[in-house]
Amino acid sequence: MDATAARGKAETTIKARVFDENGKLLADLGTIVGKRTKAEKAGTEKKLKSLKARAKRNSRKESG
Amino acid sequence: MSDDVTVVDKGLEQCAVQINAAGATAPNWHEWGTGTDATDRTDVDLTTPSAEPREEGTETLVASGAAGAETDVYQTVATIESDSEQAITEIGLWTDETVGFLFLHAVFAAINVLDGNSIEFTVQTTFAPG
Repeated sequence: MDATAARGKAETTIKARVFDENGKLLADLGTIVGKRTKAEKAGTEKKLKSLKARAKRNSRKESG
Repeated sequence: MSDDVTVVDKGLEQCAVQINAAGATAPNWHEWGTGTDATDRTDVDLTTPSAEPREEGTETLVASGAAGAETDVYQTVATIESDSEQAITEIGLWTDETVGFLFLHAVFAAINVLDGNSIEFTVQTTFAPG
């Protein structure tokens, strides 16, 4: 038996919050990497879609 | 009796404590990027680092809630401001502002930011029994 087989491991969780240029909170995304419930994941995805739509609107405004 | 070895809970907790110790080479420099390749244990850099410089994170030790462990989670928090409109999809923790080595590499669903927007990342690494 390999005596080095039993060991600990590192688990990582990453949370993210997005702010505008004035420091105002735009979105608290919660956990973006790591363990989370289905409801938490759905909540994060909804906020990410909102940020994506905002970026699209901004691109259209700048090109128009 | 067969061979057996375990890094015990207190030993795992010490991993976080030693990283956070004064004078330690702490992996608290946050860098972000726009790459989407899956992460791998052999990674030494982000896939597509963005132009913004690495930001130094504020380090703390917190408890995971595991019995008997009060400082087994190494946490670093940093905010990076974007110089352009971009979709952030990866983050890395480094041991130095410009060189050092990559401690952690993560990819995630795109976070769209505009010029001047910023993201505060809270990265918690728990040294757990495996």
